Amino acid sequence: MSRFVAAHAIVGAVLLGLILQRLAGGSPPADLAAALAGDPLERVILLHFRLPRLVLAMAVGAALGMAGSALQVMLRNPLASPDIIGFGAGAAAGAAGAILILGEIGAAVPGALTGGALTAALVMALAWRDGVSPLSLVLIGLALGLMLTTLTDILLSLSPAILASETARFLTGSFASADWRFAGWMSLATAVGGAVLLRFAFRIDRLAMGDDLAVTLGLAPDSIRLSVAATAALLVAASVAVAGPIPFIAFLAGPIARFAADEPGTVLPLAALVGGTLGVAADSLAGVPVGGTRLPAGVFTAMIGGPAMLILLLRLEVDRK
Amino acid sequence: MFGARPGVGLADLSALLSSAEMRDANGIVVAEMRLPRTLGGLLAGGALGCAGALIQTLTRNPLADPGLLGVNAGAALGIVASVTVFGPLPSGALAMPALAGGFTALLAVWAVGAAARSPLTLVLAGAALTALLGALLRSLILLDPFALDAYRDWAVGALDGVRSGLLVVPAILAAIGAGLAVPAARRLDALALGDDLAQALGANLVAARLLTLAAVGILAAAAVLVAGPLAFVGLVAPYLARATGVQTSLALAIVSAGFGAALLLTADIAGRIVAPGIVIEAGLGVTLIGGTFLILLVRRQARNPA
Amino acid sequence: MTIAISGGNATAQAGPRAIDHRWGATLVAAPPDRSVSLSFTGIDAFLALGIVPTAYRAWYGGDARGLWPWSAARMAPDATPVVLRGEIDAETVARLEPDFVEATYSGISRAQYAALSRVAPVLPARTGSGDFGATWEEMLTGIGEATGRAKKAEEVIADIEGRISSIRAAHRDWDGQTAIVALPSGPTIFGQSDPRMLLLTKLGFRLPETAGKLSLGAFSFKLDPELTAPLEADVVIWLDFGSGFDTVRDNPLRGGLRIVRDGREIAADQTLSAALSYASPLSIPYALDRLVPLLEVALDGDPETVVTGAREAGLVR
Repeated sequence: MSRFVAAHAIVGAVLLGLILQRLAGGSPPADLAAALAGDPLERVILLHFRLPRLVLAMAVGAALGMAGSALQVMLRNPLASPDIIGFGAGAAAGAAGAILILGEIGAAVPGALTGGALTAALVMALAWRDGVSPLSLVLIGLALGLMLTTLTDILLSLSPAILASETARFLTGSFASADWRFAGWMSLATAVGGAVLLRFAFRIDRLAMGDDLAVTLGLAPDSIRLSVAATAALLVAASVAVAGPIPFIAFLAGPIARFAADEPGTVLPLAALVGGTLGVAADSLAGVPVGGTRLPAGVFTAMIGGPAMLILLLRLEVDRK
Repeated sequence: MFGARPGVGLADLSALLSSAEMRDANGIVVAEMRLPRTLGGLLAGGALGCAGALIQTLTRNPLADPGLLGVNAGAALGIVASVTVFGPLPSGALAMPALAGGFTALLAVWAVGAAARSPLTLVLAGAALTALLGALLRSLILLDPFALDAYRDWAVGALDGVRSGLLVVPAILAAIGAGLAVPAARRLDALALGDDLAQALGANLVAARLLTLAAVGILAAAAVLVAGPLAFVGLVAPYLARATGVQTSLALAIVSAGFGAALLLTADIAGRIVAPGIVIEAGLGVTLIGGTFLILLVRRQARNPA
Repeated sequence: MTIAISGGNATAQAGPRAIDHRWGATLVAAPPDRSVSLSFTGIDAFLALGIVPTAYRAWYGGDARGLWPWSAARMAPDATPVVLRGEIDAETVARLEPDFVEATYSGISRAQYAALSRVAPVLPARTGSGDFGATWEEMLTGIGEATGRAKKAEEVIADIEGRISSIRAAHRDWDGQTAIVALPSGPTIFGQSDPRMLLLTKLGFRLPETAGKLSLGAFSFKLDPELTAPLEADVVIWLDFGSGFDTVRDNPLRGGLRIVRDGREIAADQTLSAALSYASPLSIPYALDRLVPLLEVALDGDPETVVTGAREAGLVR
């Protein structure tokens, strides 16, 4: 069995284990037998609470994983994930602005989509200069991201108390707000966006060899970069709209996938699998109250993401030596 | 001299010379509010500008900045975490957690940056670290609703609440940082001649790096204690300083400190002119100026990347 | 501090009722036996109607059950409703097997509303006021309708209004006086639409024009510390959410303020600050009981009388 197949099998097994844990475990655990026997409450909990929440966590995780991985490969930098280069910050600022103006958390959905799309357009417009180099895309995204994070903080300071703390909770990222409509739309977005990225996967890999080579192969580097960046940005915006800015999945999924299966061009599905696994894992942890308080999943991706990021950074250093 | 209070003029500067009991209201505004606010801006801006110049010289990376590298976010997390654990603390007690947080972040980002050849990697590592620290900060705030109120004002970076009593500890830190910066800059100049030559001249590579990092960490902590986690000052100031044509690292650090102080005060004053009467945090102006600056910089060099 | 006697004599109207809200209408089989309240401050509304819910959401602070004195006094010590903290978890709510889920001031999402509606009727916020824009009267009326205690809700509201108007009648001199409610940090002044300011308005006070202009209609704004004119109201109420009043005490311009010279400042301790901020049918009577004597002393025109608590807060030397 090749390393590639083994990697998929291992991640898939972990995901399957987590799925079973999510469906049957938790605090308190679900009674699957009763649900199958037709107990109405257990049935509703399984079919309408746990399943859509699970699907949402997987879809968001997969979307972030693919968006992050595609950007990292295209921009030739394992650190250039959408939450670092401003796409996530744009969607978050849009959500915070809409929440403040309309006074309700639900406004985050149109807000995040608008903010994410506008930011992505702005990043690409500003980075365009007779074409778009990966370096300027990353740096301009970074600069805009920092400006938008400050804007979000200002918006938060303008909100009345309860709305501000609920907005802060939204900005941590959570899968708690799930029904089949949300889960369905997000799955659709992930599927469409993923398909677009997969179509580009081969070309993204060729770009990594340098623009000149890509042009001789008959590829148009700039249009590839813009299409991939736009798709990634929309995937991120959709995730923020349904679950808030869940940190670090986009950052981590790609490197983990590439570490597991070091084969170019085929890493996107694995990144989706890893992202989905991270999403479900974080939501499993969110299912257990800490000191009587239910914490959003984003707290846990940050806690998993922190050490993992440091390991990744140190590995980078080792690679360079 | 710009401010919200009408009728305060140059004449009121005389209050600075009179004893505290003799001052009228305008005198109090000048001596006990605008003076500390201005000194705070000079201190924080200067410290960040100087720290930015040092870290840029050390890493030979024109994009390095204690704010962008996560050092300020580390200091901020240290402060918020200790307030969450111990409740409201006097500013003096916050120096230790600010230093601890700042240095931890600095070492983490240094672990990557020391070996990274691409200037971009260091900056992205810093941005990733900033994002991580920000996420941890948000988690702490969720656990403690009181922390949110304190955080909301301070996270943006502001000078309006600065009083002279709050400046003592940061001023001591900044003085120590500046004291370390002088020998650090000298050694950096020696290093700039090339590692081999520097060693031949007796300059100790490790000592130079440690000195510089210590100075950067202490300066950043001082700035965060005064004005919150401000990004971009340490990026923009050294760039402007280089434009004046200074040669040595020491001169660059000094001139950068000047530009940093000017930048922060400009942002603070701009906030007061745009919306007189209410507070617009200086951090907003700094971020807008700095972000725009970085974008313009990138666009200018778009087709000839470093 | 007694308001209308709760519980016992309040008879619930029978029969199911449909209540309109932002996402349609909810049919509640009144009176529900197992209510779950997801609203912040929702427990106060339920207790005011004489109902002990199966579970309720804690906002901030209070005792081990998340209750402040005004609501703790209404709940039997042996009553053991479930306290929900943190984000709303639909499954936790469903497992409580509620027959009514009240969420008018909770920030519940449409997805959570849809999912939970499969288990029990869910009442979200009404149309047009945002997640947290409803007044306590609107909230109480809605909960009263849903639980079949509309009459009781009317009584509670009428009783509080009666108390407010009798206070106002006894203090004709307050009419048209200016008042500021502020946080020490900044200072941050609350605008006309803030619930704390709304209560003072009902007592006859108004926001000073200088502050009103600066607020631009927002809930609150941070005043430039150099400006003191907007603070020169007839009375200033400083709130405390855990940071104390040191920032007020250390303001270098204090010496020149009329409110300081005339002793017109009120330092609201953490419990009174919470009572004013909860602005619930239980916390308002509590707040009035404690605030009115403080207002009387602050507004007596005699600089020598010291407002209770002001010396401890360091506002009076």
